[in-house]
Amino acid sequence: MDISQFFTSADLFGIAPEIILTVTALSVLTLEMLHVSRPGIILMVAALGLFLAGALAINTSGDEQILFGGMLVLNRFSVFFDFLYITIGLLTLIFSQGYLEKRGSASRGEYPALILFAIIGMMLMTRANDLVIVFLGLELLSLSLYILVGFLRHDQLSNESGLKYLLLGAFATGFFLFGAALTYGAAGTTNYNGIVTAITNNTILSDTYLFLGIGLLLIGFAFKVALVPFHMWSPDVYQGAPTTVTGFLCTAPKAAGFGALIILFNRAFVDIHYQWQDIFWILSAMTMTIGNISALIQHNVKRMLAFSSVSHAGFLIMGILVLNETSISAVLFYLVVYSVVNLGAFAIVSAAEQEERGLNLKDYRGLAAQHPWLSAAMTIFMLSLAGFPPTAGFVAKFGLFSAAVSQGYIGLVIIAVLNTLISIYYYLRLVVNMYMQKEESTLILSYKMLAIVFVGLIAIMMIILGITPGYLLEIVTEAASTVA
Amino acid sequence: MITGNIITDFCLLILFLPLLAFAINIFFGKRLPRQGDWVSVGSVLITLILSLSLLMNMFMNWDANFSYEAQFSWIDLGAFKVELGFWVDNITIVMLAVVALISSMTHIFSLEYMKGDIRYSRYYAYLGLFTFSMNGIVLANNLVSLYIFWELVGVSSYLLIAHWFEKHSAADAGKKAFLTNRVGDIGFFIGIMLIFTAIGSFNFQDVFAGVSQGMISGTLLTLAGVGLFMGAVGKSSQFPLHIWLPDAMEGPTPVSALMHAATMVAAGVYLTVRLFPLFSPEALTIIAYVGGFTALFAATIAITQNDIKKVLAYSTVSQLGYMILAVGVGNYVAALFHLLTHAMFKACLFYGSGSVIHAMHHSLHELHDHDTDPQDMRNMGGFKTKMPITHWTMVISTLAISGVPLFSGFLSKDAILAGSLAFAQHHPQHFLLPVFGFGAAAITAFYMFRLIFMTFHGEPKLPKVFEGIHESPKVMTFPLMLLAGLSFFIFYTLPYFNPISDHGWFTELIKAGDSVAPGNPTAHEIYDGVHHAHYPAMALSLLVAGLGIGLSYLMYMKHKFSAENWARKMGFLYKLSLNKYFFDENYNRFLYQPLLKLSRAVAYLDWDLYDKYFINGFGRVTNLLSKITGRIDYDGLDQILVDGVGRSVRRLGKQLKQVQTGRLQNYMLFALVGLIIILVIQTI
Amino acid sequence: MGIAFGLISGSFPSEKYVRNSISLSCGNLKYYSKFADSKRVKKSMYRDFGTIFIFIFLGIVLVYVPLLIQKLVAPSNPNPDKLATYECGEESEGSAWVQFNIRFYVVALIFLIFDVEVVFLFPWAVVFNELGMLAFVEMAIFLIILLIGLAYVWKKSDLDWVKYNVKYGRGRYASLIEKPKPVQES
Repeated sequence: MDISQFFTSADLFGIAPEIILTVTALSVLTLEMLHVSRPGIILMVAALGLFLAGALAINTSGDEQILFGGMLVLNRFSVFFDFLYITIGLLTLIFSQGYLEKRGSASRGEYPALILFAIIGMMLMTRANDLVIVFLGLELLSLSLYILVGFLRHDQLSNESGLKYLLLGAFATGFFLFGAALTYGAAGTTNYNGIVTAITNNTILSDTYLFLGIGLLLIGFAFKVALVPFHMWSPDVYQGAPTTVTGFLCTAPKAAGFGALIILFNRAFVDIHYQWQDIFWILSAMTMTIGNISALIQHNVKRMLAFSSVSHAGFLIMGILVLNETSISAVLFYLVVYSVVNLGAFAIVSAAEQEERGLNLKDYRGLAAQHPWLSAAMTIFMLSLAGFPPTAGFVAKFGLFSAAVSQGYIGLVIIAVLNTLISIYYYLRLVVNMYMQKEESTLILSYKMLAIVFVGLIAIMMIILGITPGYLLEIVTEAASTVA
Repeated sequence: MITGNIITDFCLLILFLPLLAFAINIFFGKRLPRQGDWVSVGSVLITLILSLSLLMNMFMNWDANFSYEAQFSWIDLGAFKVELGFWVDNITIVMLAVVALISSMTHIFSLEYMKGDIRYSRYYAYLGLFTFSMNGIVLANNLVSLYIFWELVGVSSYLLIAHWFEKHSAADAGKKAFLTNRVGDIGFFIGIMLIFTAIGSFNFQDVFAGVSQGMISGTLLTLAGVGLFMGAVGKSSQFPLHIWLPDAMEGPTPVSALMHAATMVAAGVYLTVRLFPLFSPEALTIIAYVGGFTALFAATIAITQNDIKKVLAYSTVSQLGYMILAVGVGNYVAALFHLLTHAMFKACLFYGSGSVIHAMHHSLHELHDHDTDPQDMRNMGGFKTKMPITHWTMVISTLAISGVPLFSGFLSKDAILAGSLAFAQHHPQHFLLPVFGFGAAAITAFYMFRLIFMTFHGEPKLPKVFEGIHESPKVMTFPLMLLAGLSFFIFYTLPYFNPISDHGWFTELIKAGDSVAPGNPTAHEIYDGVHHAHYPAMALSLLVAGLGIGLSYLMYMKHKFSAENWARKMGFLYKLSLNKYFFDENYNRFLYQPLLKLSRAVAYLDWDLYDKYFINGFGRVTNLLSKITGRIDYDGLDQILVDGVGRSVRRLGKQLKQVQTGRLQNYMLFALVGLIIILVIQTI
Repeated sequence: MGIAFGLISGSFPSEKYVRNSISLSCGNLKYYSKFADSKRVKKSMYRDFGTIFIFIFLGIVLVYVPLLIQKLVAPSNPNPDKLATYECGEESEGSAWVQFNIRFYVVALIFLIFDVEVVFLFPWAVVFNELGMLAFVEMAIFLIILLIGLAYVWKKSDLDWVKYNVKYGRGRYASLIEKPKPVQES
């Protein structure tokens, strides 16, 4: 028996980014173990690994490749997501440095390692062509995140949220696994292609099993991307987690969840997607409405952003409800803009955070007088999240809404637009607090220069993307065309 | 050889490098070493190199029909598509070179002239902004981006005129320039919209194609043409919107040289040249008359001005009138040619005046004399020996502007005058046009030599000040010498060497295209006419130029006639000219004041009569009514409907907050309920 | 609640639902027969649910009926010795709800990981000869990863019962990097 019949060198080359990231993560752990405790070096190694993985990901792009006998599929869509994760990971590492120093945990090498592991998990999720691989990726991601959320082990809030996330995450994983099992029971396979064939050839063993399986899988994902009513964990966890981890938590896993959901419903369940449109409709409307209304009354910036991210998930679900090439490309564009803006916003929040203050909206009063540039960047982020015209957020929302309108979901788009209006209130509240209050700011910002440079870059990019979205639109359209 | 995408890259660089310099200097200028002037100078020098390489490329290609258009989709959201682009042909390349050359000369000249200015880095930033927007105008391939850059040029002009905004007159001049330009821009905008509604595109080529297909014709086309020309009237300071340019001399002199002599004011001419094919015959006649009249009219004002920069300003207005006249009679290649030569010698003249003012200023400063006007020619005289370089370069450019053979101005002016003469031969009813042209030529020669004689020759009027006059440093004389060199004919007639014929690379590489508007003669017919009128025009123009120079020589050099005597004899005319035909005063009296009065009257009607009696009376009644309805409305409807919505949203939020207990059990319960609901919905 | 949602779903997107099913059915007649006729699907679904309910019912019955029988049949005669947790051996003391030292879990986890590793190693070792070099390399990679983990735990002194090498941060906010700037009087 020759084991090489199970995989070829092409397979190995296909997962080269994952391999590189694994090696990087392990070397980061080893470095830390060997008392190379200068955070700069560890960060450099991690960044190098991410760059290398990104370069390899480019290299593996091109035509669609099926790896490991149909377990993984590599195409432009997955490469797009690989890049998104790597970018988010890099930005998180850069923004985390100053914050971890402030919290006295800068020298802990697990942090970059865990982020790298989470990225590997997410990459698997969007490359997967098999429910088992999705599950594997999901678990790798979740385990890393559990630890990251409770990373500050002497901070009670961080501990509490870590435990909450672990328990609810396990709950969600149970749903997911049960759903996968039922799907397997119905279709006789966990492979997406197999499921499609089973559905089209009408060789489903039991409609009920398939129905329950899809429902439970959907709920598993709904937990991960925090859709109402499965969002309840997110504000607590987002608030308790270290702020930079919160930034990571509300961007990359959400992107991975939506990516995997798109593939699942666009490949495996493409023929019965229409049966679930009612559910997506309701989930979308409920998620954006309840997320927004809850965000209205928050006084804590992190909680406000957490609820806002819930409402953004509601907007994104619209794209999965429609599920054609336009809507998928709109979702991808939205994910990029949303992720990058949120990372920038959380970077500023993490710079402002202090022992007793810095997390309440009121603490931001008069910040603009002291830190005009950072306040300007924060304003751009908030406007972008709210979807104001000269920013990229507007283009993102416009694309999503127009995709939905063109398929006749006018009612839902009206709800979405009303929600956008509501959301402007709480986004601008932060801006108003920064600019229009006479009081002297008592916040002392602590940050690294590099982080500030990147915050500025993101802000500029949001404006540029808002004015000339052409390049990114081209990329997302191409990525979407490979799956749609 | 530069082709295709490389041209696009070059154009992008030429366009955006100055913008980059602007961005760097406006944000970080003060923190950079030397306040960031090197950023601007460096960027504009790179622009110059790129522009010159495009020019060299044009020579190497030697293709009169060269045309390259690059389109970018700016916003592409499927159905909604906005495209921007470049249109590069020989005209564009020549214009780019002119803008880059004069702009870089200005940057270099300003290194010394603006030294120690309080807003030094901001000055350079604005120069960058101007260069960016001017290049944008030149490169535009559609009316929208042309309009955008047009306005940007106006903004940077405003900013630079009012650079010393502590001076009231400078701030006012900036405002005046901006507002006067707005008047023209309204017409411009109307013209653009007329064209767009008729043809449905902003792109030049599409517009021309549309006009030739007759999608817009007759009065509407004339109206659109006149509207577009209105923009040029404002920007190129033509009668009756010429009032802003002389005031704009309040800005720093290098700025006057760059914007108010060589490039920005020429944008109006460039616009009419670019859009020449779509002007109807009626519109062209209007253009010709406006241009010709302005040429003569401004020249008559220039005779009596004593401020050295004011003379040059009116001379610019007059020369711009020439160019407009040339477009109007259909000889637009000559207009462009004069634009090119005029840019060189007029910029040189302005730098020369800047050099003189700089010297005067320093001398006065040393004497602690802050009352004497450093720009008044009556305080100068005899500077020839003290400032030889300035003197000789200015003399060369004066010879050029007067239309003396061997110099560039002779060729271009000659072409324009021949064009107007040919036009009058074909249409004898328009005999006034060549009269305007030749008259202006004579007067131009007269007042320009008056300037030279008053400034550089004769006895020094203020001997003390004269002692302190020094030649300017090399940074300032270098642009002077370069531009004076470029005022010789040879640079425009290569590869031919004939000082009395404009036949050269310019006329070979830039060929007039046919007009697409119905009723216009073809380019060939115009060319033939000009060719026939060439020699008579040359003889006449030489005659009038000689007359002007001679009179000036006799009056201001030899003092055969006393200028004061003449002024006294023709008191009324002299006063008219000295006070610029009382245009400002008349605008003030007949336009602004009546408008102000009208608005006051309207305000009186509005506030004191209408408001007091009608509104208040009505208000009282309404008040009563509203109190009644208010009860219903506020206590009833508002509480329930309007506030109610807001309050209920908040209440809903509060209730949702209570759901968020922080207990995992509850969260899981909610999730389970959600699961059940989903399954139930799916099964129903 | 369910009825309300049903009404919403019925009123809003159902037209789409129909349109979609029609457009799909045009291409694929067989498909139409299966999915567009939703009533039939629903009926079969209820039938399948019925099976599940029977299972649940049987599960409950099979657990509780023996317990009930036991309760009815067995004699009930408790005394303190009988009620003790461990009838023989160590006397139990205090409540079971005490806090265990977290290190128990750490050690247990580490043990579990290597326990599972052995589970993987056994079948591999059985067929090792047939698999050849590649399988060896693969397993070596697997072991190396685990060994790095072990070394990490060791180095972090999580294997020691009494820790001496604690290097974790305090978790609170460290003293801020910038001192507050004096307010400028204007």
